[in-house]
Amino acid sequence: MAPENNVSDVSNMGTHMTADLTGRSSDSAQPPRWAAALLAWIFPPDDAETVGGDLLEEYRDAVLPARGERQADVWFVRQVAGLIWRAPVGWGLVIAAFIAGRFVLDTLAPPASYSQRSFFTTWSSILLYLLAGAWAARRTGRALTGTLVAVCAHVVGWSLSVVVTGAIFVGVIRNDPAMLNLFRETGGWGEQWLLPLMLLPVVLVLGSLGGVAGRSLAKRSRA
Amino acid sequence: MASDLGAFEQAVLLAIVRLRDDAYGRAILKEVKHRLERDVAAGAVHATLGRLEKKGLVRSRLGSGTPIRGGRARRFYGLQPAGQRALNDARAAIDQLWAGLRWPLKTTSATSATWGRI
Repeated sequence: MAPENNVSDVSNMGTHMTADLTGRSSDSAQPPRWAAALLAWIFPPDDAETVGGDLLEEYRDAVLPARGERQADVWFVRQVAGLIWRAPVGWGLVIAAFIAGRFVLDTLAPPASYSQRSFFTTWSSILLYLLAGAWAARRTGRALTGTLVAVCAHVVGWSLSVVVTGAIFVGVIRNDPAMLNLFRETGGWGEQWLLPLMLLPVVLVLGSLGGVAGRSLAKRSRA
Repeated sequence: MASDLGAFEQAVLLAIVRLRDDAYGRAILKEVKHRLERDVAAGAVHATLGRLEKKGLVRSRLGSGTPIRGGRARRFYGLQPAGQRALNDARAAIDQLWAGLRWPLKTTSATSATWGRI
């Protein structure tokens, strides 16, 4: 990689003074490093470099001169968010289907005993987070990618399921006393909205375990 | 033949056609923004490029970096024969739909009489 331009290397006094006054020149300006690092954690190495380079070029060449440092940094972070959310969204949709699907079944088709259904959904969810972590880490060769994708997918899934279960509650359950009673007996909003949030540490562990497995698979395939 | 290309996919493919040997990620993004006359997210362009490559409509290769991007490599894209056919089909489909109609459309007296003034 070619060394980056450094403001102190600028020999022209006027340019140097301009760079001092503004804080940084476009060619050496750096967007938020943590946002740039996220690309490396989510994308395979080649993609992280090329996509990161594209964003940096746009940042330096067009956005920073037009909007100034602060707005340019906001722009960069938004672009990174727009890139990385796509990685976990597929898993997030599956997780949302799990959470919302369980809610629908428990409300519209309540079983005699919830233990069998709970056993199935619990172990399916565990497998899902392990797979999400392994899949993500295999792409980048980094275990932390598995953790990030599993957690992001869980947040996406939880957010979507909140919308779906809320709509079902408003449209169906609220007006039916028997369903409303069943909804409260099976845990109500705590079960639907708070429990997934409380499970975040568990998801973090599962995603990390999947990430370790994915990293091992990546190393073997490259060997 | 009906085209399978979405409007944004066409915009990205046509940007690659226009840019020729200079069709790398950021240049494509800039060209698409210019042609669509609106802000476009980098994620949308990169996701579309990935999808087009999976469909076999474009192919990519790594190229050299430049100082403004910290020396980071660029990924250049080129149109494949299937991509050219898809673009031609898309244009043919639009022409078929517009056959016999003049662009831009204008409100006719018959339309005004039926639906009232817009």
